[in-house]
Amino acid sequence: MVGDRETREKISGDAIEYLNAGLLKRGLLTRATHIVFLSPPLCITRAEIERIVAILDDSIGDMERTFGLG
Amino acid sequence: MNDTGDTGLSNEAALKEAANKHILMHASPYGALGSDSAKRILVEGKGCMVTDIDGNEFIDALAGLWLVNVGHGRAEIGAAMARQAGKLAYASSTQATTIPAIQLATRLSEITPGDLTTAFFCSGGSEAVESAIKIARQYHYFNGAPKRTKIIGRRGSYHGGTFGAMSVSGTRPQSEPFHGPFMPGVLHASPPYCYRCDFRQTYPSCDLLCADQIGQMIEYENPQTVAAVIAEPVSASNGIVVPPDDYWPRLRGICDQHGVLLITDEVINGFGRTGKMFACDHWGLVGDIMTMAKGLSSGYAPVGGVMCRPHVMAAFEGDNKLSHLLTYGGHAVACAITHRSAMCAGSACWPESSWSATGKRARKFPATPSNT
Ligand SMILES: Cc1ncc(COP(=O)(O)O)c(C=O)c1O
Repeated sequence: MVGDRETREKISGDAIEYLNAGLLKRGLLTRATHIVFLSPPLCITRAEIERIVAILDDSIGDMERTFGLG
Repeated sequence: MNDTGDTGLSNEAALKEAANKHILMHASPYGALGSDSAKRILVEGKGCMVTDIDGNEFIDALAGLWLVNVGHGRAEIGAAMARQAGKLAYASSTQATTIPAIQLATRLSEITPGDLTTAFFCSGGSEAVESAIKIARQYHYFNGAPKRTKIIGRRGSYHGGTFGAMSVSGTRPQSEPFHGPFMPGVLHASPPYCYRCDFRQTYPSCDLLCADQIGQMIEYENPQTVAAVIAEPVSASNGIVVPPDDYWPRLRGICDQHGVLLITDEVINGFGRTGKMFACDHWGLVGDIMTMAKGLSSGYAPVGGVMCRPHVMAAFEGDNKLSHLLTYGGHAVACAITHRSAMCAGSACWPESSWSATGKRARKFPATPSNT
């Protein structure tokens, strides 16, 4: 994730911290830097994948709004 | 002293307090469990879900640390562990081997790329990388090239936390302040990370400058001083960097041209993580030495391994014994359950059969483990 698509400057540490807290709050264990790492067990179901995507969508959207990104 | 039995630590508060005081969590400050809400005590897992001591459920989108590929809570693996532990848990790694170790090594020789045939077992990814480096250096020593000791890694890579593995990792900015000086004779090349190209080039007009740079490094250093190049087929730590399709054929050719061994690190990539059994399989790539851990046991045992091709093993024949020993290498219980999860990996539930050509997952991949 970048804070500026032109310069490709990486997203700020504050935004990343906010995102990590948001993911956790919504029940997703992972690790986000300027990259959100996803490598779930390979026995994952479609419903679980959809849940991960929904949580990411909510959490990244929330971060973008809060930090004026996107 | 704390009573570690049920009496002293039976309630959540006591457990949390004890954990906070008595456990130094990896890559964390002391006392992190008490001060950082992202740290927790996990008590149970099933499939993709894990539960913490307070009863909160989470979806484990990282499979622990990129490894519980077959999912949490597979009781059949636990049963295999109990059977082997009741029979024979351990045999000296230098004086004996065990049936589970033989079964696992044989299975691995079947499923790993190309003619990778022989396994050296250890207890994790860092040990696998250390072992691969030591095998590579000794290979050259026994082949009459004792000066071939240098290792080339790539910037941004991660190959482990032990000293040699840390030294070949491209993590100098993080580790240098605390851990320098590093193992000497290590060089770091640029990764094939097109979005943030070190050369400010664009693929394909760059003509893979990043691969050619490794060739130039080898020539500059003198090929007779270089032992090996180590790299993940798909770099995970650097941000899941999939290289251009001609990167691996080019780099494999450069290594061959200079008699330099290629160590492919499949610790994260391996056992289905990239949609094929090994990431090397995307390009028909075969390292001379391949490291593995993580998905090898899906986290059910601390296991790592190094696979070697016959020409590497040929250097160790006769009086040329391997100068490297790890007490726990080839641990019988670890191999028994690893064999069990690798067997699962070779069965209908694994990527070759469960991912179609379009990359969509086919139905037969079993979801949450059925047993409890
Ligand atoms: C590519 C790679 N190699 C080696 C290692 C080291 O493995 P371990 O932590 O099991 O020692 C890791 C760990 O994340 C890794 O990602």
